[in-house]
Amino acid sequence: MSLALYPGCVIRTVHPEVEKAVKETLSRLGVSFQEKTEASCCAPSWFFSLSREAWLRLNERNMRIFKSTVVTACDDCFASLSDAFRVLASRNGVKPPEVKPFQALLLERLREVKPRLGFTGLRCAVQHSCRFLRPSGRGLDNPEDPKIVKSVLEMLGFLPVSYERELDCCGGFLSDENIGREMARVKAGSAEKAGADCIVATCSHCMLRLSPVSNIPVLHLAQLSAFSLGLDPVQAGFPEALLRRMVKR
Amino acid sequence: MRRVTVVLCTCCSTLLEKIDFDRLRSVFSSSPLVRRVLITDSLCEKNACENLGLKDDGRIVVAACSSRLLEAAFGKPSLVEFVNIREQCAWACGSREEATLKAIRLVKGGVQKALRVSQPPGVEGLKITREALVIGGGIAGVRCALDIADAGYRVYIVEKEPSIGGVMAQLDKTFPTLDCSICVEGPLLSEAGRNKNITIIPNAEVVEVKGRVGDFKVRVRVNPTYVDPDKCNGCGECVNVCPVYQPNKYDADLKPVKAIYCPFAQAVPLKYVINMDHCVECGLCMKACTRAAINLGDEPKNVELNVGAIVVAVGSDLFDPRLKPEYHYGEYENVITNMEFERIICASGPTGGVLLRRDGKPAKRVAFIQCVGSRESGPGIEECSYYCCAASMKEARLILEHDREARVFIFYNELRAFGKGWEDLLYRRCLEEGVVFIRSRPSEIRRIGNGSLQIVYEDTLTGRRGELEVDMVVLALGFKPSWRMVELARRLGVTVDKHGFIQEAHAKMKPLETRVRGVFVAGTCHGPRDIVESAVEGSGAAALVTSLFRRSSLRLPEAAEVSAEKCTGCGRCLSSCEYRAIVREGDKVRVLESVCNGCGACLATCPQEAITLGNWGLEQLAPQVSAMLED
Amino acid sequence: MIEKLREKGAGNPFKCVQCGSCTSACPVNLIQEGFNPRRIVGSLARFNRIPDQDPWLCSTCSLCSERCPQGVDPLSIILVLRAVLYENGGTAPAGVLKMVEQVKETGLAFSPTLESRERRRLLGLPEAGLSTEGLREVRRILSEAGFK
Repeated sequence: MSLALYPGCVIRTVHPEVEKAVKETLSRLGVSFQEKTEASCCAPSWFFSLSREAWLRLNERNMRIFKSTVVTACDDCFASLSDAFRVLASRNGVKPPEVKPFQALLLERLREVKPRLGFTGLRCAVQHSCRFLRPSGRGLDNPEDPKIVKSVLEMLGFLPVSYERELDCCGGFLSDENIGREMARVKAGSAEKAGADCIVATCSHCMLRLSPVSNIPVLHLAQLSAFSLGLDPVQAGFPEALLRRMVKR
Repeated sequence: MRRVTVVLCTCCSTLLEKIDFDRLRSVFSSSPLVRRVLITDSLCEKNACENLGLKDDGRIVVAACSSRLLEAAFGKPSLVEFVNIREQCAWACGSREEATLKAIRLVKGGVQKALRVSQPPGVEGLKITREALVIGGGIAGVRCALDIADAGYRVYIVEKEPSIGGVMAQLDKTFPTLDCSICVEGPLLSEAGRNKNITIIPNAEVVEVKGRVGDFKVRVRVNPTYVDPDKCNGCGECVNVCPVYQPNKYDADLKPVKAIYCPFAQAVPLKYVINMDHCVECGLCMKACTRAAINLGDEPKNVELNVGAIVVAVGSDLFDPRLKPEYHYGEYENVITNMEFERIICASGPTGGVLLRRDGKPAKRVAFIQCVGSRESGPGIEECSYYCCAASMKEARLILEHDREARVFIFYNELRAFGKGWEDLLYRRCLEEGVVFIRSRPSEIRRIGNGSLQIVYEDTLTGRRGELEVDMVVLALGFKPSWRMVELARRLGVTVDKHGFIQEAHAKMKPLETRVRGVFVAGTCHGPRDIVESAVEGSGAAALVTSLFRRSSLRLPEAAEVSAEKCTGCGRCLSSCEYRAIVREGDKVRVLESVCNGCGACLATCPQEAITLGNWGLEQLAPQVSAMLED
Repeated sequence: MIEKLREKGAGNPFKCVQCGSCTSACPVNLIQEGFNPRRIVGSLARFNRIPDQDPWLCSTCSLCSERCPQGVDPLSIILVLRAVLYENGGTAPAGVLKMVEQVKETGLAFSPTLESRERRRLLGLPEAGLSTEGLREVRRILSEAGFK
């Protein structure tokens, strides 16, 4: 069964390397997918604050376009789509189509395929998206001790490191730039202090917020997975500095 | 032809205005079913029944005020049918004509019913076994047992631990007076142990209860202790040679004891027991014992008790703080529970009463977090747990008693100091001694550097947020009844509320009775309480038990009965019973006579008409209704 | 205001006991003490007054709703406040309004730059965007929902 891929607005327009990396990862792991280019913006939190109706109707249109299980590359899209689908489905008395975030799909697939990948030794600080961890009612990962992204990183040959501010929000959705930047600074600083080589995120907004204030590279999980699976680093957007820090393969 | 006596009462002539008694007399005198008609003024007077010469009349229809008032006053002649011509007739009808006609109909129906009643309602003269069972040997259970014993009756205490005493034995000091807890409870425990009317059965659990009030048959499983209590003299030689350590429940698992151990110094009975989960069966203790008291092949035993009343006083567990992962209990070693604190601060505890952290450093700055697991819609209970504000204030005072230089902070939501002496001896003293009260429910505890903790909170009285650094955090845990108690309730046939506390029959009218006659409840298994309230309930339950025992015999209201021949096991009656007094038994059903309240709802649902309830069957009611409706 | 909350399926501010768990957990309150979820909920429940705090300062991290022992769900309340402000005066942060405009124009919330377009081409990815038909649908939905 083919999955519907939905990279999200930000990735498509600002981080095309991530889109490439997601597609490459899925193909190299034998996952068949179809990108639904007709799907519009999923109208996440700031949008549906203004109009709940617009949120629901835009996603009703998206739901018709997707038809099958959706894979998202950005956790903000994941949250918005799965919440909207749930509301729409309960209105119409049908089962909502499943929305799978990239990291969950990757974990499943890696467990099935068990590829033999080299050990890079790169220390990664995970930026857990608020949208993915909470509300805890979603039941995907443990909000006090999240494991999914870390497990994926280990299987790919990376070293997840814990850091003091790991569970904090990065300030990605704040319209107030000053506060948002301050929160991101605390976050990035904590990751650097723990000795991380890079910050790994699964959400576009976390990436947008953290990149300007972080001294270490901020990457999407897909970029690491694509690289691990053989995609050349330039195409994956894998910085030169990181390549040099790696343990010899 | 059976003949019925009809007695009409004018209720001190008040009904004459509304009902034509002459007409009633003439209608019923001419009925072939009626032997005689009597009209009187006040049936409610003492000895009215005798004065009217009704003792030998056999079947009587009494037409008067509500039978609730008359049943008692009328005494107990053989077969009486009450008809209400006052509240349900004279007072309810508009005109005299209407009321009189209705009275005629009602009495006609009554006559038809009286002709068909075949047995007196209820069962009389049931025997009462005047021995009681108290399940649970905490303060409530012990207080209850002592009171019952003092009244002269024999009582059994079944306790699941090796010693009675319960939670009170683990506390250091009690609030508000700061008296030593075990010093107050110890003499009660000793007395219970010595009292010739009290038999303590420790290491035991109730596994089955059958029967009814006055005659319960209880099966108790006594778990093996591997030490013969009759031979053991408590010398303790076995402990010296035992090579295995295990966590000690009495010390909140803080300081280990050997696999063979005595629960605590003031234990009653003061005997050693072996925890087979940890014992490696090396046999060294057997060699050390000079009395040959140890038997590693010990097996569980069943004891059958026959008692007339049961008091449930099993207490309640506390909330599991691991359900609040933001407080990191179990992960950060200096976050402890209030029970662990009690053991630490107690002179007989793991640190000899010195306030030390797990890492051995003294705790100079201590914070308490209130309402952990209480007053919430999450995994804890919605109720306030009653004791924890007072307990934390008491513990705060103890800290300052041990160390004048210490700093104590209490994070509260609402501070409840409603008990006697609490306002002064707890709250005011705390304020005077410099305890800092912060109105806040902290969202998180963080760990910093050297094992110290940081509490993240917003002071809701000032609106300022803060991060307080302390050495130790004490979580004031709320009550949370365990599955064990719910299971025991099921075995007894009593109900529990949504949190798992045992429900009383009526909160105000019957606060210590349960829906099963003869089973009473006392203490924290009933709901959040402190020591005083638990002891009060224990005494209250004891009074109910002794009152029951003082009766010469028992009379139970009629219970429904299922005919085994007619019952097909369809189960329709099960959902009709509000009291859940019907249970499946094999491929049929049975009514629990102790629980049945005789409401009759089940009769109506049985398609086989297999259920009877005294004089309330179709046989009696159909003719009564027909007679009321005929012209 | 309370009716609005109920209408839009938000949390119930009357369950709040003002314990302060939400504010203690709030990462924005850590940096700007003026933003206080407890006060926002309290203002509605106790005084039936729209709080004077800016609901757009919320980072929507959901920690307040996670920690609340009474199940009040302050986040949903703050989101409804945003809707109410917009409905009554069209106010919202400039960045947000820009994103709405962007969706009206291209169907996506961000606009691609020349540089990112070039990068897409180099990576072998197709142009990002909706068909004319798709765009028409999106625009219709937005205008029907009240966005001019």
